[in-house]
Amino acid sequence: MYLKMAWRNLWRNRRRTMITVASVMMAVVLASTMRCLQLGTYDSMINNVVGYYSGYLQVQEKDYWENRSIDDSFTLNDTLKETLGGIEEVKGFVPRLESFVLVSSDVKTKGAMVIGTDPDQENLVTHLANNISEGSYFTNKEDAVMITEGLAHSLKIGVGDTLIMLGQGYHGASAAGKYPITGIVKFGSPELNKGMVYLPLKDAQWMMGGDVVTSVAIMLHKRDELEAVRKKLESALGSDLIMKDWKEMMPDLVQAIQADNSGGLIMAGVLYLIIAFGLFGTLIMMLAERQHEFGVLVAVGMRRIKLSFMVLLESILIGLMGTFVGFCLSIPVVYWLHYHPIRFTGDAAQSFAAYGFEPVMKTSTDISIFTAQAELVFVITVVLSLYPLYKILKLNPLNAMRA
Amino acid sequence: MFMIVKIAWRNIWRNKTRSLIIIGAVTIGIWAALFLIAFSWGMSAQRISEAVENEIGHFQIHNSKFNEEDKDLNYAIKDGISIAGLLKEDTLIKEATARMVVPSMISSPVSSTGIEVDGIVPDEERIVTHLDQKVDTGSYFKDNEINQIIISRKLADQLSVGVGSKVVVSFQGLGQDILSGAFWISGIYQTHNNIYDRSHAFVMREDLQKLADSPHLVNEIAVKLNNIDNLDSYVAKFQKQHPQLLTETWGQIAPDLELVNSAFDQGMQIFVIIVMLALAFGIVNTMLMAVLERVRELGMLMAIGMNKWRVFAMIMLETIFLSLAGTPVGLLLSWLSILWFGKHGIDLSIVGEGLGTFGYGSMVYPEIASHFYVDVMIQVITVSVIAAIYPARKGLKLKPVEAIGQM
Repeated sequence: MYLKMAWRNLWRNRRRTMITVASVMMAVVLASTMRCLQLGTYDSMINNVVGYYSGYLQVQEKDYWENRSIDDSFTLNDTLKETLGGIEEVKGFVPRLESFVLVSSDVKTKGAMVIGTDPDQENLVTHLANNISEGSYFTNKEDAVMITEGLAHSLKIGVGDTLIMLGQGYHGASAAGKYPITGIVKFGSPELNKGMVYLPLKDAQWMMGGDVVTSVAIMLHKRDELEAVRKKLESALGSDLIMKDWKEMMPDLVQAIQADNSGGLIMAGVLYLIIAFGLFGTLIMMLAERQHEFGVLVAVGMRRIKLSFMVLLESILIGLMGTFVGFCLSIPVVYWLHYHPIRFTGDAAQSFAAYGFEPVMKTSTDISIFTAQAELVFVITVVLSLYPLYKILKLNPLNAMRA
Repeated sequence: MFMIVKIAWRNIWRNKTRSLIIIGAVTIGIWAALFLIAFSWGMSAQRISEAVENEIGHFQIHNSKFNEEDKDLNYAIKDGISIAGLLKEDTLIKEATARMVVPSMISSPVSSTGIEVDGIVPDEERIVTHLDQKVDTGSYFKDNEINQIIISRKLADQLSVGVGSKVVVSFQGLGQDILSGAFWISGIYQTHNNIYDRSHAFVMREDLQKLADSPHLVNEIAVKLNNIDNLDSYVAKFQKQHPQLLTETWGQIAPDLELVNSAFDQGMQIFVIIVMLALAFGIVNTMLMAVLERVRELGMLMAIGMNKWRVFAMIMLETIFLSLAGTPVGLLLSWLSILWFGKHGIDLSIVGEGLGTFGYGSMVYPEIASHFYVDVMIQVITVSVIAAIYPARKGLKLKPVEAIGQM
């Protein structure tokens, strides 16, 4: 009966109901847009950084991550390769042999990270060929290397010149090699650009004196498939091998996101405050408008508690309608912003481009953000409607009817 | 016209609840926008002051051929030590220190990696970059001991070394030879900036010069002024005196600091727009209700001869008065809260290490340039006036007879 009355009350004054529903709806849309913008930035940040080099997941020997020593490496067997090839969520994987060595041209010597990798598989995982700024991409057929732009610059060396490498190889063997440079790679991140040498895996293994790899980097189609892949891969690894995901490999990135997000939550909190105030205003106006009606109802004998229950039901119905409509409306808004992202301009755009990021703010389209925002706004609505309840419980019918 | 103003003014006081709601919305809108700006401004300002006070110094001097990526020892500053000595004597200068910086490879028995090794003078570095305060394990450089090195916590973990361990530093000297020397770790430091930590290690300048067999070689002078406001004029003067040297302010050395900040700023503007939208919608709804509630009254006014435009003007004026009333309260509230948090800070320390990646400390002290008070005030008033147009238009469309009949 109460429900019926509440429902009819809502449609009795359609305009008022619509306005209140609209404010709830707008609250959901704005809150969702704001959070999707904030969280979307992190999505693209993760995709960018992971796609540069590390991949979402790596298989490593269990001590490698701590020591970064070429002695903590492993032999890539066929079982592991076949298992990886058989997992459908895996977009690509690439075995690498990494070590830090001294590299020299005729005139200069510097320390650099040498990466032995398979040219084709590497390109599948990190799209390395897109980063060639000069010369051509390296291949398995010729024994040639690619170096990063910063390194080329400081060694005063270019395409066609010879690079000399000297360092410690597998199990104390000395590693030395001499290769022509076939291409220059340019990375946005100054850290990466400073000193990396790419070399075909078999050449690196020959130079280091061991038929081993230090890691297998794995790229997925989607980030949320990480756990599934982890499970499928588990059995194929022996006791010496472990998996490291991007969160473990880049704790800085994870914490940067958490930190920025805590700032973001403070901003969202400010938005909720405004939203709550807007809703509160509408509710109070409603209360003022219906003083007379409530006064009459109480005067003719309706118990205050019943009346306030009915008003609470009305608020809940309004909240439900508003959040539902808001939820439905925020989806196209957020998707539109996802495909037509807000572009940074001027200096900011340059600073993003310098780091190899697309200078845009893209929204996240994670559905859980919408539901969380809708729920939150609903809770705010119901909590705020406690104020009218309180007012009704203290209502003086005589004064109210005079209003 | 005056009569309309008077009616509007009186209407405001007739329905105090509604008026308070709108005044409150404007107050909160102003506060929210200003606080958001101050919060992000505080984060940026902190990053800059951290970099300038603890890493870069106010300005730096190099050989004109020196470049940041390379740091070639061959591009030394001629008479660098005496130039630094003269700078130190200047009353405007707090401290100047001449360094020998060299890109090197650092190795432990476990691992090796590339890093910039800075040969420094310990007492001067205390003042220029507060290096001694960043050391959290072991000790700062001690007198009478040779080949001490201070490395970061991050590097120590990667090399699996601790205080007292030996590491080997190798780099290319003035010729083509690779020079290597053993150093013992005397202290381990940590800053908020992980990128800085991962790429800097410190030794005493004389040890490094001895290793390179070039006793007076320096290739970087970092200077801190007593008052950073004198920076531009001082650098201009110095450039005139020493045209052969490359003299750069912190802004020129680390342009990315300002660029990242400008990216943050644009993100902030978008959030401020969202806040304004929320504010506008709150006002539209409240005013709309206010108009609909007063249909009968407005109809009556029209019936006794007030024309539609006057009704429109009256509603608009009411909104303007209300926003004007909310403005000073909002400004006062913002000023007080920014002042309070600016002094006590907002603690984000639960995720402090993450803030370190961006080079932020974990405390954020909001601060704001005073022109924003005016900007935001104008924006909020504009938004509320625009927001009032739609409800006021509703008033325009009323037909007196129907309006009076309604109840």
